[in-house]
Amino acid sequence: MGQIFDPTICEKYQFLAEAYRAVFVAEALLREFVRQLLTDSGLDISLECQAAFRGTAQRFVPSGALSKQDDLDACTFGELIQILFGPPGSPRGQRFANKFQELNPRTFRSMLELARETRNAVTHFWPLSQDTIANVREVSRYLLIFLRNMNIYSPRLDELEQMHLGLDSGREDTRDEIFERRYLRCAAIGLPDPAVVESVSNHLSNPAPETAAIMEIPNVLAAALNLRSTILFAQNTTQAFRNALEVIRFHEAMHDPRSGEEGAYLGRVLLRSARTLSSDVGQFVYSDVEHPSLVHMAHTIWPESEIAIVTLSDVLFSKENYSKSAVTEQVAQRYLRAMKRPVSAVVLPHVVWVNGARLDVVQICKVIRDEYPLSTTIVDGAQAVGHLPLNVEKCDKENENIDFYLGCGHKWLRGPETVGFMRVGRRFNEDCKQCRQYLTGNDQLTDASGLALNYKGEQIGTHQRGLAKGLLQALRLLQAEGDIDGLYNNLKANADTFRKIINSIRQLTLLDPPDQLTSAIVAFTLSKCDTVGRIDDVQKALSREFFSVATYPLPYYLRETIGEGDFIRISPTPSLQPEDFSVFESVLQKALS
Amino acid sequence: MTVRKDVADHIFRNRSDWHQVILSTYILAQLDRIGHFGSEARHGLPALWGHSYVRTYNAWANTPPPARAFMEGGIATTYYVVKALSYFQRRSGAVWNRSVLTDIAKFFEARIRPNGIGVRGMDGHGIQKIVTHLRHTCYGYLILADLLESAPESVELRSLTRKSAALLIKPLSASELLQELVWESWPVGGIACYIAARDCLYNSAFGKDWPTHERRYWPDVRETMLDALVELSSTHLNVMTTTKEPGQRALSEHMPYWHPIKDASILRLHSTLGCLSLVGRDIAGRESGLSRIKEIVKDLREQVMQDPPRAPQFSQTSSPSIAAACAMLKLVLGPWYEPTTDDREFLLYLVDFILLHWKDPYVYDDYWTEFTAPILQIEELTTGFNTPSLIREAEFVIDRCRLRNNVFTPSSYSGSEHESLSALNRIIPTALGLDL
Repeated sequence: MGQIFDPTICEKYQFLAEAYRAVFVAEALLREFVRQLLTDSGLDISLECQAAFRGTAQRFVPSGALSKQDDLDACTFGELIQILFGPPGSPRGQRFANKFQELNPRTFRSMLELARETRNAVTHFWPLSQDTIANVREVSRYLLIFLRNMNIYSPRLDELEQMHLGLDSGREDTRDEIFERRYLRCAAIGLPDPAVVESVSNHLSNPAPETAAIMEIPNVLAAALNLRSTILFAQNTTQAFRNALEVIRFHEAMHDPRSGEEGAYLGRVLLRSARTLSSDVGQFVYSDVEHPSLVHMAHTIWPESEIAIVTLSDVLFSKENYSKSAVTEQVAQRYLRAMKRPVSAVVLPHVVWVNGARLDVVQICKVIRDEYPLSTTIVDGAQAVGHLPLNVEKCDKENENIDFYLGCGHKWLRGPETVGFMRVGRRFNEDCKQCRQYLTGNDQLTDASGLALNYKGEQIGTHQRGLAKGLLQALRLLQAEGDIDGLYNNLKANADTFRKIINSIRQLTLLDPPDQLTSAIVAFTLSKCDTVGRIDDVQKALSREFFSVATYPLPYYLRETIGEGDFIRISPTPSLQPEDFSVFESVLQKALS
Repeated sequence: MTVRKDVADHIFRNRSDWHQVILSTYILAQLDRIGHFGSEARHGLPALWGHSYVRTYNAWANTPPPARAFMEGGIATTYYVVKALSYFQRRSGAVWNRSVLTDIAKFFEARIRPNGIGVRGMDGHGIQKIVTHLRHTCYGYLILADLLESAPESVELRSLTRKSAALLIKPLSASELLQELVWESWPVGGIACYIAARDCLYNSAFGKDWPTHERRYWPDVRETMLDALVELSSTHLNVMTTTKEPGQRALSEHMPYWHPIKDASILRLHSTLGCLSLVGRDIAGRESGLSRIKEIVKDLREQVMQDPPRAPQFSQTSSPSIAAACAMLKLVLGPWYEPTTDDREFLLYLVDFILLHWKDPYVYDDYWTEFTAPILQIEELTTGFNTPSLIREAEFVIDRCRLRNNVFTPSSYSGSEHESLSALNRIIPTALGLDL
C-alpha cells in the first residue's frame, strides 16, 4: 500500500471528510435539479449560466479550461442558487416557485445558502457540528424528492442517491472510498498528510492565540526549500501570481524608481508624453505551456495589448532528444525575442503542469536579466515545490535574477489547501519600499484568507494559525524525509516505472518532454484521438485503486500532434511497492481490453 | 552608396566624385587659410574652437581671462573638438603635448566642485561663481576620459577623471534628474551626453564604484532613454520645460530636427548634430530614429538644392555660412546615415560652396563654429602635439593632387594609389570630425 493512515488521526480527518462528502452530494444534486428545471422550462442553459457568471465575481479559470465540463458543471454553489432565485428582490426568484411544491422557496433558499456556507467552511478547515452536516444532508433529501417528483431517473441520479444514503453509514464508507486506495502524490490535488490534518484539527479544537507558528513558518519554509526567507503568503499560487502582477504594475505606474532606474523613469515620462495613447505599463510575456489559471490572471490584470505569448510546446513536447542545455537556450532566446522595452515582465514555469518538463529557470532568468536588467521575472514553482531540489538560491544569498518565486503548500508538500506563497526578491523589497508596503498589506485585500504574514511576522489581520501550523508540519515532514535529492530520485524512479508500463501499452501515448527534462509527473493519453471518451473509463478504473488520478482536456497546443480529448496525469509517492505497479498495469490492461 | 563601411574602397570605385568632395575639403583644411580669414572677419575673436575651454587655454594662457560673454558655455564644443583630435592623434601616431594636458587639467581642477563640474557664471547677486550642472559634468567626464586614454601616465588627469566619475555615479532622484536634464536650456544635449557619459563609465575601470545592482540596470536604462530621445519632439518638451526665447509663449516645433538650445531655430542643426555625435549610431539603429535622420537630410537637401541652389544656412533668416556647410557635410557623412545617390549633388554643392566662398568674410558671421573646427583647424591641432607622420602623409596626398584655380583635379592613378587611399582612410574621418 502506498499509505497507511493512523486511526487516531483518521478520526479527526473523517469528520471533515464527512462534511465534504455531504456537501459534494448536495451540490451535485442541486446541479442536476437546476439542469432539469431549465430544460423543463425551455430555457437556454448556457445563457442562464452566463448570466449567473456575470452576477458573481470574475472567475479565475474559464469554464472547461481545466477539466471537461459544460457551463452548468462550472457553476459554483452560489451561481446555481443565483440561477434558481436571481439576485435578492428579483422577480426571477418566483419563476420556479411551483416546482418547490409544499416547500417555501424562501426556506429552500436558506437551506441552500447553508449548504453553500458549509462548503466554504470545509474548504477552510473550519469547525463544523454534526447538526450542520445533518442540515446539508436534509438539503440533499429535498433535492432528491424534487427530482423524483419531476420523474427524473438516470444512472447519475441513482449514483447520487446511493451516495446520499451512504452518508448515513458515515465513516466506514469514507474509509472504503478514500483511505484504502493506493495513494498517488498527485501534483494537482494533494491529500494532506495525516500529521498535517492533526496539526490543523488540534488548532481548530483549541484555537490558542499564540503566534509561534506564524513567526516560525517563513524561516522554516525558506530553509526547507533553500529559498531566501523573504516570503509572503497568499491563498494559492494563482493569488500569489496576482499579487506579483499587481505590484509590478503599481511599481511601474506609481512608485519612485529604484536607485539606478531613474534614467529609465525619465525616458518613460518622456515617452508617455510622446505617445499619448500608449499604456503606462510595459509588456508581459508568458508561454503557451503556462497553467490556465495564471494565463487567465495575466489577461485579467495586464492590458491585453501589452501581452505577448511565447511558444514552447513544440520543444517541451517534442519527441526529439533535445539536450537540457539546448532547450534552455531555445527557451531563453524565444523569451528574448518576444520581449520589448519599456520594462517587460515574464513568467515561466519551473515544472510544466501538463507533462512535468523541468526548465533550467536559473539559467533562463539569467539570460533574460542580462539582456533586460529592468525586466521582472516570475517563476511558477507550483509543481516543483516539495517535488525536486529547487536549486534556485541559498537562503542567505538571493538569486537576483528571479524576482518572484511562487509555490503552494497543498500539492507535493501535502500541506493544507489555501496556502500559497511567493519568495520576493530585493527589487520589490529592499529596493522599493512602496512595493514592500503594498505587498505586506496585500493579503487582506486579495484573498481574505487571514493568513497574512509579512516579513517580520507582524499581524495585519486575523491569522489563520491553523493553516500555518498545518503547513509548518508539512515542511517538517519534508525535512524529515532527509535529502531532497534522494526523495526526488525515488519519485523519479517510480515515475519512470509508470512510464515503462504506459509505454508498453499500445493504446496509450506518453506526453513526455525530451528525456533530460522529465520529472516525477507522468502524463498520458490514448494513442488515437479520444473521441469516444475512453480515457474517462481508464481514469475511473484507475481511481478505484488509486488516489488520485486526474483527467484534464488536452491543451490546445497538442491538438495538431495528438488531437482533441483528455489526458491523465499521475504522480507517484516514493513508497510505492512492486504490487502497486502490477495493479496499475493490470487496471490499465483491463480498462483498455 | 555608402561611406561608412569602407571609405577607401568606396572612393576607389567612385573616385572622380568623391575625391572632389573629400580631398578638397581636406586640402582646404590643410592649408588652414579659412581659419585665418575667419579670425580676421570676426575682429579678433578666434573663428575656430570658438569659446571652448581648450581654445581658452591656447588663446589666453598668458593673458587675463576674456569677458564673461566669451567664457560661458563651450564645454560641449570642447568635447567634440577633443574627441576628433584624440581620434586623429591615435590614428596618426601623434601624442598630446604634456604641457597642454597639464594646463587643461588645471583648468578642470578649478571648475570641479563636490556636486559636479561647472562653468563660470554668476549667482543671483551678480557674484562670479562656478555653476555646476549635470550636463557639464557629463561632458567634463567625457573630455577627461578621452584625454586620459591618450595620456594614461598623467596623474592629474587620472585624479580628475576619477573625481568626475564619482560625480557621475552619485545617485540622483527621478525629480532631480528631470530637473537637471529636461527643465533646462538644452534637454536633448543633456540626455544624449548623460547616455554617452554613463556608457563610457560603464565600460571603464572607473565604473567599479558604481553599485553592482544599479550598474546592472544601465543597459536597459540607456535603451529606454534612447527610445525616448528618438521620439522626443519640441511639443513633448513643451509642457515640461520653460526654455523659451524672451517673449515666446510656447516652444516651437522643430521636427524632424531635435529641439534646439533655448528653442532657438538657428540652433536646431547644432542640437541635432550634437545629439547625433554622441549617440547617433544608437539612434540610427532604431527604425524611427533612422527615418527621422533621413527626413532631416532630406529637409537640408531641399533647403539648399533649390533652383537656383541656396547657400547653406543655419536658418532661413541667418546668413550664408561655411559652418552650416560643414555641419551639413558632417550630418550626411556621419556614421548614423548612409548617403544615397540623391545626396551626391548636395554634397558636391556644399564642397563647391566652401571652395568658392572661403575667402568671403560674411560666411564667418556665425557664432557656432565647432562644426568647422575638426575640419579646418588642422594647423592649430598639428602644433598642439607632435605629428610628423601626419604631416608626411598630408604632404604626400597634396603632392599627388593638383589644386588649380580653386578646382581640384585628381591626378592619374598609379599602382601606388592604394597606399594613398589607405592614408585617406585614416585621415578623412578626423578631417570631417567623424568617428567611423
